[in-house]
Amino acid sequence: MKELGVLLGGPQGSGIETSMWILGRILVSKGFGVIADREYFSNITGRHSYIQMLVSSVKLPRSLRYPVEILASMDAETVFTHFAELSEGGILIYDVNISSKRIEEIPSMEDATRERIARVLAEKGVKPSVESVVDYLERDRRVLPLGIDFSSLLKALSEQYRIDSRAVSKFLSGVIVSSVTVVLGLDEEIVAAGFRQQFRERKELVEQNIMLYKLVRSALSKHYGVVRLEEPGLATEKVMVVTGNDVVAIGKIVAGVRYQSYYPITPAADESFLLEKYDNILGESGEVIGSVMVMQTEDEIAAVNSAIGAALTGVRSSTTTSGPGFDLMVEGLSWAGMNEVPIVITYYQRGGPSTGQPTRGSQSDLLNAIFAGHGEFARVVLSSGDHLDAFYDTVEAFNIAEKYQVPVIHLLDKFLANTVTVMTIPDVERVRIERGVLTRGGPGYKRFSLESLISPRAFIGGKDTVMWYTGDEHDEYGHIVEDPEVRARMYSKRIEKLSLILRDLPVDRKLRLHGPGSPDYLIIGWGSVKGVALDAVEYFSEKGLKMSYLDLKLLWPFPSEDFLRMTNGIPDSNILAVEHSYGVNIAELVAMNTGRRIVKRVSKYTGRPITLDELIHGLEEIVSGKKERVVLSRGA
Amino acid sequence: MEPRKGYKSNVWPDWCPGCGNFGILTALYKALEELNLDPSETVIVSGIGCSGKTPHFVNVNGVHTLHGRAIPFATGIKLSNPGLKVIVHGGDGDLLGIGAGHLVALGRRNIDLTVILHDNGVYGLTKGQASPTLPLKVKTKSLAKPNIQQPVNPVLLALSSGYTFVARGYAFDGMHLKNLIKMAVQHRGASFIDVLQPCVTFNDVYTADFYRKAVYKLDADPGWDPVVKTPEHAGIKLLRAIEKSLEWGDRIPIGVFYVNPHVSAFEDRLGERLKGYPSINPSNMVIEMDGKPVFTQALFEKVFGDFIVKVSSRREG
Amino acid sequence: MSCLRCVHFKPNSILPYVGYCEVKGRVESAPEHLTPCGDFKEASIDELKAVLRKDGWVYCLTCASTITSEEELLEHYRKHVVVPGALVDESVVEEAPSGD
Repeated sequence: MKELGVLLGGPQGSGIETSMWILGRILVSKGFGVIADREYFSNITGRHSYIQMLVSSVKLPRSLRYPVEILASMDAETVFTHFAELSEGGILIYDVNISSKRIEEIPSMEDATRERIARVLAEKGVKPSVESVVDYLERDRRVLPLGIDFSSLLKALSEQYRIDSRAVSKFLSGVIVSSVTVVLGLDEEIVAAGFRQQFRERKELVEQNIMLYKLVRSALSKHYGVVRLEEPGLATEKVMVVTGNDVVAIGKIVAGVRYQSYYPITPAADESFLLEKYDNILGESGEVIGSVMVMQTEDEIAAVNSAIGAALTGVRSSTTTSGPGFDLMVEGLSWAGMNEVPIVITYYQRGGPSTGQPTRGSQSDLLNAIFAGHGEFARVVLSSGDHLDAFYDTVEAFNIAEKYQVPVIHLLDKFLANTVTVMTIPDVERVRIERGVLTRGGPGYKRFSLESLISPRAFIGGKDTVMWYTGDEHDEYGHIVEDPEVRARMYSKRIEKLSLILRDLPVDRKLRLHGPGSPDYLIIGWGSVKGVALDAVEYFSEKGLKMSYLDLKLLWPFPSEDFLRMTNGIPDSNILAVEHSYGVNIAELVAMNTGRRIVKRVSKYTGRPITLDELIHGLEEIVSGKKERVVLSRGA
Repeated sequence: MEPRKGYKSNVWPDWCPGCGNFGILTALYKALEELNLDPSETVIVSGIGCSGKTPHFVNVNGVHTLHGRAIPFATGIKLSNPGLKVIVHGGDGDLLGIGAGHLVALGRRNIDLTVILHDNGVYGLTKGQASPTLPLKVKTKSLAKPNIQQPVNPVLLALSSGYTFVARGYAFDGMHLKNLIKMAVQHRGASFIDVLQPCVTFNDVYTADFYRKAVYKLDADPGWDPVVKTPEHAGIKLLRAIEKSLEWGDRIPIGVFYVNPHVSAFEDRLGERLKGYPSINPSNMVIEMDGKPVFTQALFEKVFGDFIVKVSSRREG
Repeated sequence: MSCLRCVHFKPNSILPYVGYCEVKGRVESAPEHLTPCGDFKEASIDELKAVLRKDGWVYCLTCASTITSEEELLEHYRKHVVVPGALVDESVVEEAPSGD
């Protein structure tokens, strides 16, 4: 087979993450493409978490799909929660010691979930115990159940090694990694290399895990390599394995960000934690070539406002947050717009409203990012479809902010932030740092000179230069002004920058068409829809239906002219919008700016990502005329 | 070096005649003159309200920010370019109500900047509502009914938040206030001055007349020594300062309450993490060369090596 | 699985049938001890009360919940498996994604 779906499940903080990293890196080092979505509760430990992966021999995967071919469970909750997502002929790996566990005996499972699953089991005539589910899968779905005795493995291991009672997770991840790699036919050498890479500093852990591999291989010897993935054919020598948070942090360092402020919030905080690790950046010979100051502030209000303060002194500065935090930053955003301050707010959307679903993704804040903030002023909102785009877009965000002296919102989401992906190494030498029109200032300097839309910018601290900034309407020097004529000129100056941005930016920074220019159907979307939409487009194209995907990158100012030009000739009824939200608000944005009315919409708002199987099904229903609006909901 | 004169900007101060802010402004001009500060390296950051306009009247860099948020802006400015002298001017509503969180946070950090509180008991620019320093049951002419909230004690709050220079001044004792401002600016660490400021329009209880009679100087007592000599004595000095801060009513002390030079400034703590800080700081770092980032492809792959995985070739497979 | 009834055993909160045996000074797995070993000592109600007084809490394995008072202890002891404590695994710090 060319690709394989794997789902790893267990209680949060049990070694699932570690399993994913080890397995992922082993597969990548062999040349496979891997993508992994991490789903977890708003909880530290105890609740269920799972990782859904797609492994490919032929490409770098960009979406996930159900069903999965391998379900590896650390506990009973995983078996109950995901058994229905295992394909016919698939493989279930589970711990025989929990065979008798019944669904009522799992306190960490939510009642609504328990009732739903119990109902499904009852309908199928299956008793609500792990062994009954396993029997059902074996009998009715031709699933190969690989029951492993976790307890006797532990006993064998502890006869040789001293196991730390607070590190049972390392044993669990070892069992999961070993059983999946054995089933895939990956030999000891390559798996051992994976353990060495993960547990670099802890030699005993490496040895223990290698022993586990041997034990598991022996226990599952009949099934070694029972799943045959084609030899990988990817041509790359080296790749990057990163999450979205990682790639944005890396992009910021390359972009020259030297001040980042933040308040801890999911799913943004990890980006700042990574930046903190690179507080001193070392050059070729180990000398420090720069440092990133990362400030954890007392709240988001202090985060945005201190970032603005830093920008006034000429520093590339940013803050990173999610919905609830962004809402607190709105007054600061308005001040930045009024004072033409270049800052970047990285906004990772999560389920809302209010506290919402802190650990689940969404694209529900499109209109919030574009319209929040009283008064009319220029701001730019950018979005990125995947990890590699996010790297380049991060640098671009700062270039736009400084060239046009506007606040920029880089609108991303939890799906991108937390998904681990394999991507080609960015071409750093093609990246440009553009700082806009700068001046030394000097006596009589006018920060807000009306001689041009973009006033030459001096920094506070510049020699012999004094300037003023105020949230009030101001004159060219930055002093408060209420004169109606000056007011009108300053107000419009700020807003007219938007048309400059639309005129200057190259088309492919605004929107990108993937596929034929005159398709039968055009799918439009933005952000994390890109990967799954491209895969769907490819699927339909192979079936003879011409489809294209229009990836909207510049959300504000909306590129109306370019949009109309690219969709000219395609009737409204052949355009579909896809978004992880209730309203599919991108369609509203398009209508507002262009007059084109997109009625056909695919939406998902359970907090889980759209998978390829359900998107294909949903698009089929729309294309066949059965429905105009489809709501997706697959995945626990 | 020639002393600079003329820290006055050419903007007309539009405060009411008799406003305590004029006293503060004059003391500020004199302090800046005597310290001979370079205007291009000095920044006044203000919040919202009458005191918020202060930066426009001074010929140094001015940043007139949001209600309650002067301190976060000042934090970003100062930490990015620690060579700047940053002075925050805020009203009592600004710094003790909406901005109290930030006031406390600055004390914890002990960043080297100065906070001057324009303490007049009312929200002047919005027509005289009771502010966080107006005592319970007081009814000024701008209030329909007597105040039903207790005040917060700004000097006590600053002392408990960790400010390492805490003082109180009076707007119309200009010489005394000027000296406090000079000491505060020169102190390395977070400085706080509570300035009693009559509001001639809205506060007919705490007037210039009232203050003139009530105010007395701490250093009239030759035994008064607010400076912490060794770290072990900080506790005792703090307690003395707290006692003095509780005096209110007929006798109100002004002067220096507490100075502790032994607490590390935030900049020094950052210096332990960021090499070369504060002399090498975000505002003077090189981030590009001819429009290109400071990273070559090779350096990029070295710095971010942890994220790079080598794919074993099929031949080795 | 007698370890779960023994006062010397503290399960790991992730894989509750695995834990630390204070007498043997090592990790033990309850299924390996279907019958009590020589050092077995039942976690009687009095033993558990003593642990509650000393450490401030005990743990109900059936409910996956922490017990901090004697009334709660009596309630759970009757029908559930109550153990003298549970161990938080180190991976919780390493792996816990930020949850808010």
